[in-house]
Amino acid sequence: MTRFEELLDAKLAGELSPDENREFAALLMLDENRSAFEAHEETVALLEGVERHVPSSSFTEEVLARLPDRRSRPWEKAWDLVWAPRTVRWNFATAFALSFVLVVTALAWKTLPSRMAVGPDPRPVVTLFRFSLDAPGAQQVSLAGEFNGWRTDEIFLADVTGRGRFSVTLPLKPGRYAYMFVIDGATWMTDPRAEAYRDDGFGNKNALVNIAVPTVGHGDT
Amino acid sequence: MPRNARLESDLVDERAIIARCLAGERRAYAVLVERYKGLVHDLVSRMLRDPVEAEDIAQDAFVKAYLSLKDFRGESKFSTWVCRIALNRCKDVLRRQGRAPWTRTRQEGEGAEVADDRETPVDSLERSEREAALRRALARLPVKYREAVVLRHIEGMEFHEIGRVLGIAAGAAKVRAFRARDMLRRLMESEEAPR
Repeated sequence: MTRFEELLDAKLAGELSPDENREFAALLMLDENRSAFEAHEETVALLEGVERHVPSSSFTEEVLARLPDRRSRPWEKAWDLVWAPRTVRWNFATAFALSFVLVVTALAWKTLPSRMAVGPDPRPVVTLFRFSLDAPGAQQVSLAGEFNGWRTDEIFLADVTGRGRFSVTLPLKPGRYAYMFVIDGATWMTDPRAEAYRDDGFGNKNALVNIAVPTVGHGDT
Repeated sequence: MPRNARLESDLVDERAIIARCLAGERRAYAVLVERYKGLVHDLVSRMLRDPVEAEDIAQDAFVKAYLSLKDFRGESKFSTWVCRIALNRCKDVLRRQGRAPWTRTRQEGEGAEVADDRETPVDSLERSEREAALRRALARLPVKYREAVVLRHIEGMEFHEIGRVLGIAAGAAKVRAFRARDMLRRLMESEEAPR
């Protein structure tokens, strides 16, 4: 863009400083510039005055009707069935019956001739996964991803060597997570060493990490 | 409230709404649709000819955005993101149909009926003719210029937002909007010129 075009654009946006206003006024002395300015001004006025297309009154409801139910899968329903909190009504008769069952079960358990050896508890497992990024010159690197709702101010990587090699280790449950690094709170960066990537809708890629059900060991990036 | 503070609170608010959507609360998404349906629908209507198709594509953009919510990082506004999705859908449609520029639509006739009380009938006629000419000129613009000028002057976006929607630098968005205005003027003048 020429200087005149830049000033014209700023004039239309109402962003000219007093000095620029004077410079622009001087350029408008040329007939060619003045007619160009008037034409742009008229076009903008026309564009800004056009009648807007209004969506139908049922627009939102129709969108909602087209959304898939995120929680409709059978295993999620089973999960809810097990974990959703519910109110339990009780009375003394029920409590007494329950106590009786517990006592009988405990006695029966104690009198068994031999109990089979039990393996390790099937407790929920996590994998310790190390995220790392070479970012020499960065003051601060944070990690944002699906595991923390894409918050950029929660998980910070440490540069323990002082040579720009930032890292953080997180306990992650099995699953597939998208994530990004954020440098100095402003620049989003895809992990160049991620195991996979997924389109972020803006033409860039989110990095992906896949946490398998662990046996023993640690992940790393 | 200062504009920046409002934008910041909108972003925080959006993040909370999106978190509820991701937790499976579909009604929470209605808040976002209500907030941006006017913007997205108008944008799509400027890019496509058929109003029924425009409504469908605008809805489709919201559905696609919902399905990809887990990839939305919140570094830009939700509106920027959904506009980009909508424009990509418009381009898919235009590409698939190899659509020729349209010349006249139902809205042009409807626009002619709307008049300001203070206008004389002649003023009103002239204004509606100018608006109809503008719509025809807009439709004849190459897509990359049309989307830039619509986002800037009809939807009122800042250049940095337009850059994010179109996947280009803010400076490039400014140049496109400028060139688009030039082209619009020439197209409208050529239409007015006696044949």
